[in-house]
Order: sequence, then C-alpha cells, then structure tokens
Amino acid sequence: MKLFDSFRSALQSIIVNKLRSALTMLGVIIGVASVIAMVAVGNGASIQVQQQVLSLGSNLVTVSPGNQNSDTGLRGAGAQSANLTLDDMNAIDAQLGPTIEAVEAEQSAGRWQVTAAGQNWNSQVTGVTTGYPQVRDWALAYGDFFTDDDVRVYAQVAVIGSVTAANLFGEGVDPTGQTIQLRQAFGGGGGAGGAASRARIVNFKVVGMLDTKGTTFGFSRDDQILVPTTTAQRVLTGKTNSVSSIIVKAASSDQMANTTADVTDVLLQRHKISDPASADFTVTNQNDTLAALNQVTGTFTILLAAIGGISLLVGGIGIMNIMLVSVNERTREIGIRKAVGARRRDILVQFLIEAIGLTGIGGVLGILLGWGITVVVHKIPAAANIPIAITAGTVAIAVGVSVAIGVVFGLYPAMRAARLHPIQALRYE
Amino acid sequence: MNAYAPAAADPVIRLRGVTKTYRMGKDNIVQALQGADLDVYPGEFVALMGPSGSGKSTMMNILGCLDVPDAGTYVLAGEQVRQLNDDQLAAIRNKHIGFVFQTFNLLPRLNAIENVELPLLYGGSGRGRTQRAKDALAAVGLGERMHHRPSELSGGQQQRVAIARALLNDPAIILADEPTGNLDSRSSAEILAIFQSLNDQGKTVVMVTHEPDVAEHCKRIVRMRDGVVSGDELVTRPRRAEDELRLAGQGHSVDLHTGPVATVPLGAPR
Repeated sequence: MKLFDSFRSALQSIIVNKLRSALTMLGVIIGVASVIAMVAVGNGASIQVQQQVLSLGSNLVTVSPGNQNSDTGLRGAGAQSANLTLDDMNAIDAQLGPTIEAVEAEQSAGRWQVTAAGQNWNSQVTGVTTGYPQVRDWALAYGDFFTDDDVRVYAQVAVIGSVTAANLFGEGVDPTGQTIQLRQAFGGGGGAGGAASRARIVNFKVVGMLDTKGTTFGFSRDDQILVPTTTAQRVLTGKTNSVSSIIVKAASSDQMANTTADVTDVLLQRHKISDPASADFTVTNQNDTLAALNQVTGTFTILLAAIGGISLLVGGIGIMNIMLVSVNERTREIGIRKAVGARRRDILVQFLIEAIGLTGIGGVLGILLGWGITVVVHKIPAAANIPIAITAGTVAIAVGVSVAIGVVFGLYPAMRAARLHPIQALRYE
Repeated sequence: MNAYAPAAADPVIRLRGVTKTYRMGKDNIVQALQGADLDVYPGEFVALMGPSGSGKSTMMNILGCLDVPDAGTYVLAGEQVRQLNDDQLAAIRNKHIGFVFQTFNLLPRLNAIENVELPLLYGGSGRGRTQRAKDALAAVGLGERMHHRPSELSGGQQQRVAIARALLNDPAIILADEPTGNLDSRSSAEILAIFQSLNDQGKTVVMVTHEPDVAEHCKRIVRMRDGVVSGDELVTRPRRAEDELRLAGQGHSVDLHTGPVATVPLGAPR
C-alpha cells in the first residue's frame, strides 16, 4: 500500500469520527501545550534572571570583606569587617592593570533624605570610584562622572540616577550644576521623627546623571546617588579607608577564572596570609553566580516540563485506548481489506499512521495552544517582563515526542489489527 | 475424473484429503472438513451445495486462501498453498482470486469507486486506478451511481460493486459465497447473468448456494455432506439468466423456477 494512500485513509477515518478524534487529540493537545508553555515560561525566567545579573555589569569579580566560607569570624551582609581598603583596590589596579578591564571600590553610605529645588526625596547613597561606569557598563545621560582628583580631595560631588533626578528636578531635566542637600538624622528615634537640629546635613554638587537601567530583581537601579568613595568614608559614614566591596571587571568571560585567581593572590600577599582557606576576604565570580542561578532555573524548567510530560503520557494512553476501540470496531473492515489482499504490514501501517496522525495533529494544535498560553501569561502584569522563549528546539521536541507517542501507543493496537485472522475478522459482528 | 474436463488441461484447483477442524470454545470441536477432494478445471462454473454445517463455507474459505487446511493438499494453479506464508496468501487473494460475499462486505465509508479501487491499494499499479475502477463498475452495469456509498445503493447494486471489486485485478478465479442469498429474484437474476457472462469470457467461477434454481445456472453442481464431497453432477443445459430477464421484461418479477433442469451424475463419488 502506498504511503500516500495510507495517509489519505488515516485522515478520512480521523475526519469521520470527528468528536472522538477531537477528544482523543485533546490529551495530546493539552500535554504538548503544557510542555511548550511551561518550558517557555521556565526558559523565559532563566533568561530574565541572566539578563538581570548581567545588567549589574558583565564579567565581574567581586571581593567582599570577611571569609564567607569559614565558620569563624564575621559573616553576612550586616557584619562588615574593615579589612578591605581603597589601597587594596589601588594595588589590584597597579598589579593587574593590563590584564583587567576596570576596577572600582564601593562603600555603601545608607539611605539619606535628599532635598533640592524645594523637592524632598529619599535615596540610597553609595561611594564609588571612577571605574564605576566602565565596570557597570553604565553610561551617563548628562554631564560627566567625577574624576580621580575628586576622589583624592574628598570632593562633595554626586552623580545621580534618573529616577532620583526626575523626583528632584522633574522628568527630562538636566540636573548637572544643581546642588542637592543630603540629610540624615542620627541618635535615638532616627528618620523623620528625629529632631532637625540633630541631623547630619551635607551639600553635594550634581555633576552628572546616569542612563536609565530599570529594575533588577524588583528594585529600581535608577534611584541612587553616587559620590566619591573617599567622600562617603570621610563625610557620610566615618568609616575611614574601609570599603564594602571591590569589583573587578575581567577582560573577557574566558579570563574570569584567571582574574579571580590573580585578585586572590594580590590580596593574600597584601594581607600577609599564606593559607587561602583563612583569607579575610571573599572573591565571588559572576560566572559562578550565573551558573548557580541557571542551575536553579534549569531545575525549575525541568520540573515544569515533567508536569507537562505527564499530561503528554496520559494523552498517549488515551490514544492507545481509542486505537484499541477503533481496531475492535473496525474488525470487519480489517477482514475485508485482508480478503482483497492487504498484507499484515499494510494493516499495521494503516493503524499506525492513524495513531501518528492523531498525535501529530494534536501536537501541532498543542504548539499553537501553548504559544497562545505563553502570550496570555505575558499579558499578566506580574509576568510581563518574562521574555517568551519558545525556541525551534522546543517545538521540534514537542512534535517529535507527540509523533513518538503515536508510534509507541499506536503500535500495540496496530499489531493486534494486523494479526487478526481474515475469516474471524470477516465473521465479527 | 471430470466429464467436463478437457483431457489436456490441468485443474486450476485441486483439493486432496483436505481436513479442517475448528475449536469453538473449550470443548466444542467442529470438524468442518474431513478429507474433501475436488478438482476444478479452467472455465468451469461450479455450484457448491449442501446443508448447513456440511463444510461448504469452510471449503470456500480454503479455496479463497482466507484459511489454510490442517491436512491434505490444496494446489492452486500449480502452487502448493500450504507452503505459502501470510503475505503470499494475501498476494494470491489480491491477484488471482476475486471473492464475492453474501453480505457484500463493502466498506461503508467509501463510495463505490473507492470500494472497487481497494485491491489496487494492496497490489498492482497505482496508475489510472480511478479509471480502472470506473471501467469495472461500468462493466457490471453500475455506471450511474459510482459516487454513492453502499448505504445509498440497493442490495443488487451493492453486489455489483462487490463483483467489480473482485474483478479489478483480473483474477482467473471468482469465488462467490451465496452471492444471491440477500437479493430479490430480479437482482439475483441480474447477478447470475453477470457471473454467466464472466464465465463465458473464460473465468472459472465457484459459487456456494442453497437454492437449486440458482445452482441450475451453473455448469456443474458439487454437493457436500459432513465435510466431504458427496455428489458431483454435470448440468446438461444450464439456464441462462439473461433469457429469463428478457422473458420477464423490464419492471416485472423474474421467475427463476421454471421447472427442473436435467443433470447427469459424474462418475463414482470420490
């Protein structure tokens, strides 16, 4: 029997039993759709996480104070030891200069009340060094970043984020040249409840504004004020010389392992520590962070795909059930076909193609439904940022799996049909 | 052995000592054939008669290669059928034998042309399939209703479709299992006329029937009893169905029973 005839005959029988075919296909449709949608959401989330991590700057090696791997000593974000300094950063810059792209040191100065032009705002203030724009891949919308000289002389200059600028000076206004006043209450009570007379008040001149970057992990990265690290230490925090992190941008993604090792060596030498296990700092590699995050999202995606896979399996069993019923119901037809010369193979192929036709059509409809679901999910505001990630690979796998299900679950009924004895089949009522 | 047989010709069908036993359920063993012998020569028109349970249907199934004997030999056109496998039997059913059933056995979802085309799906060339099916339908006088499904055709018309299907691969042998059993007398006469015309063209026809009137249209009557051939007669002057149809005229019923027809016993029972 020609393959084309088999296809035609299979299609005819699918069309004749419209409702039954549709219901049978539904299992495969739902299975394929859930695999497609869930993998798309999982992949989308994974891509989003990756994008957000990379939006902090790419190829970063971060040094933070304290040994976060040891059981002794200071640990965690709240417990900052003071053993990482601006000199460490300068040493890294001096010794590794040609092999790295940029380096900067940061000192968080906490949240401050900001006033300018009669407007009041509350913002995160961070002391950074001049490597910041390069390390963070972050250009300026207006003005210039402060200079090494500014860092050296504790200049009271600031670069502000676009959201901060918009709140203080209005949307789309160039804030350079303006003066902002930082105010932080100290002593008991704190915040707005503290007496105005017991607040620290410092004036800064705005020299630049950063491009808009959006949110990372739900936090706006555009609401911040950057000042020279030295100024943050001296004027804002009083933590002379210590920094909360040193961030190195490696020359390339391939160089990150080398750079990590180099940075560790430089600091161990400077801190006169011979055993790396007892280092008083921790070096984190962005690749490792990404890998860890990818592992999490990958597990998540596999879990989602498994749920879809189970519904696909159930759909496959539905196909087998219907094919068995169909073989039973068409015993006489099989007898007639055998009587006019159909071989076992002809009958086998006919029923197999019918099963594959059911799952194949179901697979294609499932892909469309899955795509539709992804689009709808995308319309939900909370998920609007998750990119739709239906790849050709996912589609190919979904079609392949549904055809495979047709073969696997169609084979047994088709073999039963092929083995029927012509006389018994003809006599079947 | 057979008075009809031209001395030179080999039988197209030769059964020797054929037995077939069916097991129906646990303890019910039916010995359908118990050593049947039969020779059919090219160009014969044989009626196979006998009471229910005499084994004539089993004989037909074995002749049609739908079933194989337990013991004995069946030589079809010089070939030992017992040595053939399933696919080879299917090929014989497809190419060398045309089967016509009492219940027509058409596929209800296919129209007349598609039903007739069926043997070509499983053998023969795919070229001009539809045209060949149309030609075959025209040859059995069903040129008008070719696009109708079986449920839209009368019994006689359905049987014509079945005959067209049996003829499509131009088989040498036509086997018909009570082909007129479900038809009125006019349709029966029409179907018999077709068989007689096919026989005139040289096809060998073997037909199971209950009705003596129908059997008298054949050239030879083989009687069966208890799984063996019990009688073999030559019909000296077979009736012609087309004459009966002409006599009855259009639109009138056909009387197939116009009086006994002379038969001559063939040799001693084997």
